[in-house]
Amino acid sequence: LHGPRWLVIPGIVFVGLVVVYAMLNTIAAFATRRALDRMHGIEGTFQRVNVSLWPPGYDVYRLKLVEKPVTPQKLKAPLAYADRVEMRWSWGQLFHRHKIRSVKLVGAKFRMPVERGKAAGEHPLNLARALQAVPTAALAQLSFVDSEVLVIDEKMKGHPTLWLHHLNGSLENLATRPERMGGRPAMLTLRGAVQRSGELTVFLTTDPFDRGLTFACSAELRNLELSDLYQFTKAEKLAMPRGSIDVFVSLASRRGKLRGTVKPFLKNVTVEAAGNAGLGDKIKAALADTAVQILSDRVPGRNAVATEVAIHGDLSHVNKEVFPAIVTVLRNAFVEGIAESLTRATPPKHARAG
Amino acid sequence: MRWLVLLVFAGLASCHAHEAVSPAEESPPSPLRINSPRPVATTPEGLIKPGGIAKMQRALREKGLDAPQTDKLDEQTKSALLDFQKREKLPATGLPDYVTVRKLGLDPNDIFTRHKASR
Repeated sequence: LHGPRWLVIPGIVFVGLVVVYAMLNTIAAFATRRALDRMHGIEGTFQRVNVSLWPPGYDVYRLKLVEKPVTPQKLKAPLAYADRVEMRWSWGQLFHRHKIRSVKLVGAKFRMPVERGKAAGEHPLNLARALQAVPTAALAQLSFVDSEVLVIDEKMKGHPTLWLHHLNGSLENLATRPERMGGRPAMLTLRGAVQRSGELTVFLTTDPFDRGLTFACSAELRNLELSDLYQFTKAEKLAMPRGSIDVFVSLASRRGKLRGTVKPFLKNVTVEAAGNAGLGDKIKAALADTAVQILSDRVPGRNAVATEVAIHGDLSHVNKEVFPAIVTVLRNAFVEGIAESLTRATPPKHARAG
Repeated sequence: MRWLVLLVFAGLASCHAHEAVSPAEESPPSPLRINSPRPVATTPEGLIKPGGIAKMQRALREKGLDAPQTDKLDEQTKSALLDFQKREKLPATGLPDYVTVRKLGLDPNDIFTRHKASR
């Protein structure tokens, strides 16, 4: 070495850092593979990972989660898939507050089977305990862009699907310790499409550390063509009338005690004569189930096609399958509302004809 | 003649009975709020402090977006929020959230209610 001696040590450190950085992706890929291997009942694969130092981040490309045992059919329709998962930290928060700044899912696809007999369980969900079981961490934002969810109703004949797509949204302020929440709830905002025609907006807040399930939620589904629900009625050989529907949902659960309202509004509905008398009741009989017991009180509507279904329910015994349970509650309320509205929309003359 | 007009109207009304049109009172259910240690609400308005929406509208206007001065989360405000979120490459929902509020240059603690003594 002919240069000044003081350059040697920084030079070695620099070369060392370059070598470590070059190996970071390999190390991260190894760690990711190990973490996926530890998952129970699920096999995870990915194409590659990429680590960045400024801002500190970690991207996983083409992540796929498949239910075990893996079959070619399951590989084609994995439980979860994402074109890209981006995780970002900030150096300060990483060292002092254990806070992941953000996780972003791009082009994510989820399959969500709502299975028969899985809505209730022996061990009620304790969200606070589940969160506190994992190391201290806080997620400022989990966002998803251009994603989709396929809810498959395995309780019904033919397993009809509800397709939520073009989803953009974020879940914010989720922590594994109550003091990291800053006195504010976790908040989910979401916008997307339902089936081919419906436009969906959801706002949900939850206090994961309250005893029992505490959340409040409102959802607006606009301009859903009734023909888009054909899958749900074809098994029962029911013809849906033409028209569209707007649905407003408002739900709040305090420590598992659920209350709320579903308000459907039928628009430009053409009700066929004679044969469809009692269609509302037929649809209700075909679609509604009692996996989660809800008591629906019909509040007299102000006009022929608007109705309001009040929901009271008990989610305090729901196990970890909480999402399917809530989907079931919403679905039943939706069915109740649409059936009630259709019953009201049927002209009395036709009812007599049937 | 009057009977003829009434008859025509009755005929039109009976045709109309086959088509149920959208009701006049198409509005979401009343908002609900639960005062848990981290208060939750069914709508963003239920969590926003008085004057908070006006602050967001002012910030949106300062960013060159078409937001009204209503202090209400109306369709025009939601549309301005949606445009801002798209421009900033945030999840485009048209609803206020903590990250959007920060990107608007506001402190979420000035906009959203919170329990100071959280467990």
